[in-house]
Amino acid sequence: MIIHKQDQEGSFFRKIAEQGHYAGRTIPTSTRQGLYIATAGGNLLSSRNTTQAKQVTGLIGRGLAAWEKVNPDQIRAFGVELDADPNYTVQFPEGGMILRETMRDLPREDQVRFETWRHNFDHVWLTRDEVNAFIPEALEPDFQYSVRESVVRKLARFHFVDQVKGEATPYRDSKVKNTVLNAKVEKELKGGHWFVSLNGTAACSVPPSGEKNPYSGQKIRKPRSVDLEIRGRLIFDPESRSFTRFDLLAFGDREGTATYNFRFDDMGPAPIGFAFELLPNRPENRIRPKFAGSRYQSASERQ
Amino acid sequence: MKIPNSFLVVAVAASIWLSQPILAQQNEAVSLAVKAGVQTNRQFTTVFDFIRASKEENQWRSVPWIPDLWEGIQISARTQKPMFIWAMNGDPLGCV
Repeated sequence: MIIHKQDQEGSFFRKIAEQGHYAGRTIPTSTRQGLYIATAGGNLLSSRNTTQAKQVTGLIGRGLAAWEKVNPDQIRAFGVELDADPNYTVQFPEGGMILRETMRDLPREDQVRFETWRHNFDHVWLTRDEVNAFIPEALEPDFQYSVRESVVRKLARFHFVDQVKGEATPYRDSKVKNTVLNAKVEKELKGGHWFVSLNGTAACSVPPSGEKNPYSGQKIRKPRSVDLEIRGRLIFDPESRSFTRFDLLAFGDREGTATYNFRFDDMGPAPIGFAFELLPNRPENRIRPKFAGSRYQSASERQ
Repeated sequence: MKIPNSFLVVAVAASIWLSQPILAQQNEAVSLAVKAGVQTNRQFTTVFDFIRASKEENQWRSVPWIPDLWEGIQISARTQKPMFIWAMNGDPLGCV
């Protein structure tokens, strides 16, 4: 994304990337992913795209050796004032809430040795209005209510996406169905807090896109889908009208593949899980959700 | 204290040998909880904790990453230190 930014930050990244391991490359893709060691002025010292520890330490060693030879001009900042490209600027919603999402393949009964170590993350930004959709109107045991469907649809479209092994695109609103999320006030806890449980479902499905993975040449010939149950364990503090715990779980089957999520050899159906947990609303936690943008921000707005 | 090499090898081998049944038990507990529809708090915790990254898997978070490249450039210039940049198609601290 940063590579497309039309501002000084984008220029800096393009400058170092075009000195690096993928410089000038357009086939099979024009990605510039990887690790770069550079000066503040934009001089590349070393680079590589690797997840192997030994190769990373080698990269650092070469970078530090090159650093010994840089001149003072190269250490000066590439720029000071940033006139940020508004097309890539997304503001965290005031009064909103942050959830960390972790997604992982679940164990398979028919494959005892199936490895589940691969996992991926994302962050959820809920607006104040979306958070309010989870707040009970009455605080009494067994009080039941439904979470606004558009909020559940937002979670399904943008966060119930199988990206355990690689990237996939979000679902369009029309491809989401069976979105129900019922809440129940369970009991009062110490300190006047209340325990709330969630139960629901969501399913998403897109037809085969026919796209081809440029690395393997494999074509998408089957639909991609998830069919999930949703459960939640929340703790609500009526005094601050906020949640002190927000554990949300979605689990079920996934099927099919996206162009870059490396499921061509594992089309399923196979079990997958998504876990969401509350993060303190601090700047370091305001990591932009993968699909943040105007559609994400307005996804659950009331019609 | 100097630990003999042979001791270390035995310890590693033992940990691998022990971890297999524990892993199988954990996987079975998760599968059973999912099969049961995650109805109880215990089943919820079993599946939820299985999905969340473990302490070992989260070690990369102990690096004080600067999520803003422009801020990183300014700090690099000010502190006279080289930058280590981790660039992915998605946000490296989020979904990649």
